[in-house]
Amino acid sequence: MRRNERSALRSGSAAAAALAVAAAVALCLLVALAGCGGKQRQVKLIYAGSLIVPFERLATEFERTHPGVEVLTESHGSIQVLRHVTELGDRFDLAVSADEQLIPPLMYDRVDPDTGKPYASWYCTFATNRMVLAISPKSPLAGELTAENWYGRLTGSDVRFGLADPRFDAAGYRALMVLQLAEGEYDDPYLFEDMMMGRFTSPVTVTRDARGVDVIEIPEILETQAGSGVVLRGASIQLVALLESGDLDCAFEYESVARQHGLKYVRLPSAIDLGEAARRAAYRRVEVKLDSRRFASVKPVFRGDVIRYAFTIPANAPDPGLAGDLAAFLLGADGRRILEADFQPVLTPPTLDHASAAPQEVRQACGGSR
Amino acid sequence: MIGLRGVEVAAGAFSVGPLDLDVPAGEYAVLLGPSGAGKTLVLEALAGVRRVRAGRLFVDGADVTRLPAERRRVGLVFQDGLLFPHLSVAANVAYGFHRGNGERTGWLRRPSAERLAQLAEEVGITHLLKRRPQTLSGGERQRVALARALAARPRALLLDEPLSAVDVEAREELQEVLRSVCRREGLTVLHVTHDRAEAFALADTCALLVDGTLRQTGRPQDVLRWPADEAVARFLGARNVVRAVRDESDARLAHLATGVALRVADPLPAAAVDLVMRPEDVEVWPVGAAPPGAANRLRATVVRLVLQGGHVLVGAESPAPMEALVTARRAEDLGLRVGAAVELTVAPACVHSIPTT
Amino acid sequence: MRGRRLSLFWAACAVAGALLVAFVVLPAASMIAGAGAGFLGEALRQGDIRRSLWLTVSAALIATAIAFVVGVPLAYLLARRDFVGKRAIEGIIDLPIVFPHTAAGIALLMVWGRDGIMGRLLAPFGISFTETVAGIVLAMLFVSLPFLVDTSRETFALVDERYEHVARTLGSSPGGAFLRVTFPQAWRGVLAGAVLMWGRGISEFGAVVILAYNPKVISVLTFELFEGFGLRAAQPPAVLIVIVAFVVFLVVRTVLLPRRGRSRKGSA
Repeated sequence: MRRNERSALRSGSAAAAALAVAAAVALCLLVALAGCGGKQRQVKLIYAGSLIVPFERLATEFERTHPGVEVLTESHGSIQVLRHVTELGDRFDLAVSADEQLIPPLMYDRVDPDTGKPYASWYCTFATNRMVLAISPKSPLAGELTAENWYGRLTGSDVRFGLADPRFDAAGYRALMVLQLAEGEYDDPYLFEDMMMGRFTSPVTVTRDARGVDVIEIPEILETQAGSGVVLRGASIQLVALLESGDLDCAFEYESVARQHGLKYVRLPSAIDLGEAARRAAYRRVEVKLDSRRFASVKPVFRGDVIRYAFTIPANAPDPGLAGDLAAFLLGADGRRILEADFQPVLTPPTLDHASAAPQEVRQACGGSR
Repeated sequence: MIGLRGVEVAAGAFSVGPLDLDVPAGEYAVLLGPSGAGKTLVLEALAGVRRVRAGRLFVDGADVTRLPAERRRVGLVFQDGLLFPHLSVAANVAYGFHRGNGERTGWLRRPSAERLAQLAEEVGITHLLKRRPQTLSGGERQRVALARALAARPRALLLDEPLSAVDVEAREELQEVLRSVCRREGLTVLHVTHDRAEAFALADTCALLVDGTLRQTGRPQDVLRWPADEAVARFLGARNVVRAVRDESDARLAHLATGVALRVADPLPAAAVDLVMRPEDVEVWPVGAAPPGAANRLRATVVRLVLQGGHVLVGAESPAPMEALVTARRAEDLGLRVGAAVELTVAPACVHSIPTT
Repeated sequence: MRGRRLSLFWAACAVAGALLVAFVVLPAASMIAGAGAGFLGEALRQGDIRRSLWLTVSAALIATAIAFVVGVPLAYLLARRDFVGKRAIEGIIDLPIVFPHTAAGIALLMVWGRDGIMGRLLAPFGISFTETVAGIVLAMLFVSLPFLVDTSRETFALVDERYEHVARTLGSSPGGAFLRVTFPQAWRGVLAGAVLMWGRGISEFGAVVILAYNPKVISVLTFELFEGFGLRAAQPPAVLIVIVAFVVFLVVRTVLLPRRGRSRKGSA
């Protein structure tokens, strides 16, 4: 009996020992993995999704010309890009938006609770674009759509077109602006209504206010009706995959994106495509207002204007030195070359808002200040 | 009737057969053999839940080899009853009731109470009908299993070691039930077991299955008396098996290696034989007290005494090892003890010869 | 002496277990605590959250029902029969578990999207799997069916095959034996597998987000609210679905659990 007891003891405590060892190993692995940050310097970049193709190339080039530096990138819709810095408290070295007008309300006017100072105090406008109607190569509409018939065709029940969510992405509210401006261009006062009617569970409405500006109101809950033919995505870049797979017939996209992916597109009249600086006055006659009672963190009015891409270095950037280098790289000859190779129109020279607040390298790259 | 013609059944690497067996209608046959001989495989093949590798199966004259199990009308009772645990005893028994026979009535297909009562009465489980299988004893479970099998009105009944899991007291009662029920229903039965006593108690015919082949078929007493070969003999408990050579001049005399000669009743069939003697046929006498007319008389020394209830197994060296079975009373009268010298006698008619293979 | 040593082993087990349980409870509890009752009530009043909750729960239920109808027979087949390629089939059934969920969504899109083999086949009937509830059900079905099939298979394997043999000698066809003898003994295990599958379905994100972003299931809505409006906005739907799932698990297990002691197979 004693022998059996002893071997039972042995096997019992052996099992306990094995368990302890396994737990220790697991714990060590966890700690090791957590600490696996790497010894390189990092620069963190958050940017609007429509820039993904040129910016990934930019990041690679920057890493190549700056050995020992790792560029970490993240892309979202323009509004979300800035919200990540301000509301979610993520710290980035460079934040790039597809709409310069978002930066003042979202970053100048918001104060970082850690520092008591605004998240940003300047921005640099460096690129532009225009809205087009990109077409899927697999769509039967590929041969049909032209600059004259697109708005009529889109109301067809067999057509599926894609739209970015105006609550999250500038491309979204810009597309709505295009549709509203088209009423004047094509002399069809019901164009917007025809296009948007019955598409959403709560309707998107337009009213002309005292200034003569057409204000498009987005309901608080923006949901597409089942089978409505409109596909909504949080970032316009997500529509590209659906165009390529044929699950969308067409979508409102930036021209640069359509060209980058080799998509056919309908070139819209410059009076409505938000791409001509000379047409600013016309663009300004439409606004988009978000009816956001629940989460009123964004001043929910977007004014129609020519498309302007802008970036800033947030006040809480983890590595302002590297951030400045990256900014200079973007604005410099290398950056311009990369952007233009990817059909991203660049502003020369770039312009600065609140230039005095901007760092030296950026001011220099802009060659003077406003 | 149940018939097997050249039947071979395989399970993995193990196989049984080819087997030829005929059980006439209404007869109770026992397939007897050591565990692992493949008896269960035979039953499974007959029931239709296992494919035969070769051969044909017959039930009531019809070839059922290709027939699916549910159409063969062959009942199966397992060693552990295998009562459906999620059903009551009554529901178990009524499982095989058919609409067609009027055994299920109404659109809810309720089982007929009369038939249920009748079956329960026959098997002695009337008081158990509302119970759950988990609450029954081994003997009770087997009765329910039997009732369940009978409920489906089988043409033949297959029993796979039905009594091994039942405790000894209930076993005899259950044997009675089996015998009487099967006789009353006129069922052809194939009962598989490794228990000799069970076989002798129940069987009309015995079939010996050893190492995957049928060695012998016959009435229990015949098989016992005249085993066909050594394996059968040993299995049936003939513990005294000795090699012997036939005498040149006298065919009824055999010489053992030890020099002892034994007389047999019938002429020996071959020059070299195995002689088989059952322990109960070997008589023990004090030295010199053996009857003078005894043909086979052996001097022996007691080396072992094993008390077996009312009998004593006497192991002796003569010098060949021999075993005798005597009543405890006789052992006492003889004053048997280890080391004692005795005389053993065997009647020539009780010395059975098997040709050596 | 013996008692003391053995309890060291049990103590080690208990400690390891407690750590793991804490690992799960901590995030769940902090989220529920962070949301607060009033906030949750507010969330239930939001139409989009309510609709999403209902959509998520019912789509997962439909997916589970489909898997039940098709998967239980397969599980039974795998439990009872050996055949050439059986191991391969079992491996294939387990594939969805290792598929990265977004990859699964893409794979499904390639077959069931407007341009895919099945998508084009079904389009004339007006059936679409992108941006529809059907797509959600499809995605949930794909990623979670191994749970139901594997659990059911193991459960069927545990039911002694000889019960079925007996049933057949009593006149049941193989299907009849399955329905009257095997399934009544196995239904608890199968149900457990179904609940697991349902739970896995409601938590699916990657495959659903690719195939059917809209209408939004709770995981997609939570993600969008987080992305668009921040942490506070994303908490209510997440908390609600966790509470719903937990309640369902609890209810199902208290229904299944009490019977545990009775199922001693082969003892009757």
